[in-house]
Amino acid sequence: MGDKKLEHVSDLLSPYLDDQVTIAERQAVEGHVRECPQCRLQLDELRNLTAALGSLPARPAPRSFVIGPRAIKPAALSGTPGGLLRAVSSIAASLLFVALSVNLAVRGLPRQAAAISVFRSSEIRPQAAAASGPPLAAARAASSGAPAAAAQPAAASARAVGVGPGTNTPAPAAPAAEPAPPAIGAGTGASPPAASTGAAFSPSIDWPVLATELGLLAIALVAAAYSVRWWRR
Amino acid sequence: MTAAACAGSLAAFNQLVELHQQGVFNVCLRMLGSTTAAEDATQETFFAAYRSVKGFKGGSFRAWMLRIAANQCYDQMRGRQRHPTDWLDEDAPFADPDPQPDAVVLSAEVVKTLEAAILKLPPEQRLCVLLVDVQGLDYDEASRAMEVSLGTVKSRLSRARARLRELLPEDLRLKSGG
Ligand SMILES: [Zn+2]
Repeated sequence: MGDKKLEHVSDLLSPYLDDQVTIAERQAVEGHVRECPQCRLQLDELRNLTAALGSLPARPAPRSFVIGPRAIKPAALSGTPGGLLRAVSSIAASLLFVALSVNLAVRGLPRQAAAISVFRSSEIRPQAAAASGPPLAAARAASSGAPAAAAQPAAASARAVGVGPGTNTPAPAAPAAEPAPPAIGAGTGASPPAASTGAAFSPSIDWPVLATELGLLAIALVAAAYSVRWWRR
Repeated sequence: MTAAACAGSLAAFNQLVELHQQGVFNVCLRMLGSTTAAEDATQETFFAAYRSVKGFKGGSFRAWMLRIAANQCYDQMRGRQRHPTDWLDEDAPFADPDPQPDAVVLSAEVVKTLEAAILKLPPEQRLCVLLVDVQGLDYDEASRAMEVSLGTVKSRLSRARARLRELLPEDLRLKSGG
């Protein structure tokens, strides 16, 4: 078998079996095989091999591969996976916007000062808070220098609107002892300015909550996008 | 049926799927050596075929479908670096063989040996043997399915068969065909 010299017809045997040779080649193969036991054996083995290959039993398909309408509908709707993802991201953007608005509205309702300070970041002076919201209990309490009174409604309102327990609002039991981080830096004196700073800060401490909510929403959307992609298959 | 499928009829296309799914699955299975990978490749083949069926220009639909299947198999091999060393599950049942007058009934042992030997061929030779010798495509269909010339089919098949013969145990070479 390893003896494939040019005078042998090894290279022609395979096409000869398939009738893919010229008349001259056919005659050469048949003439040679008559004289050469080695090529004759090879031809017999090839013939047996192709017969065996042709008789290999087919394995049944493990399931039907028929394409269901649900597998192609999303493709028809969005065109491409990119289109689907684009659609999902615009939905995500809308949802984020709604979530943000709801968050601000709900938190702004009990205390306008909170909404204002959210918009203006944390740089509200005690005087500004006092000036902006005289009729509001929280703002008045903050400017009047009653830390316990100021912190307690804040915590209560935070819980009332359903914000998770993760809010950094000082615990009602010890509001003055644990204000926002800057107040800790300022000392434990619990002087009126420090306390009012804590009160003004409490809405701005909601940012981590917001970020957490937005993050969770983003994760949910990504999960949704992937499950939709999986569902399309 | 092919015309209706090309016009976008899912029902007509699914009739073609039912007609060809076993052949496509078997080519994928023996190309990849894994039932799971073959299942994936088969499903992807029909999705890809459905997406591009409008571009089918006529001729052998089977060859056109198997060309997509071959590309799916090559993608799987590239993507997963899958080495076809894990051979078919022992319990994978055989379909009833088509009642062909000249069909040879092979023992399970011979079938296993043949399938293992096929998997040892280089992928291009493997595909060639599977298309021509196992699936029964003619050279013209095979050249379309493999996107090579007729001459390449001829030489590739010749090398594949010679290699396969070497891979088989000597005692099987003559009696394997009966
Ligand atoms: Zn010879």
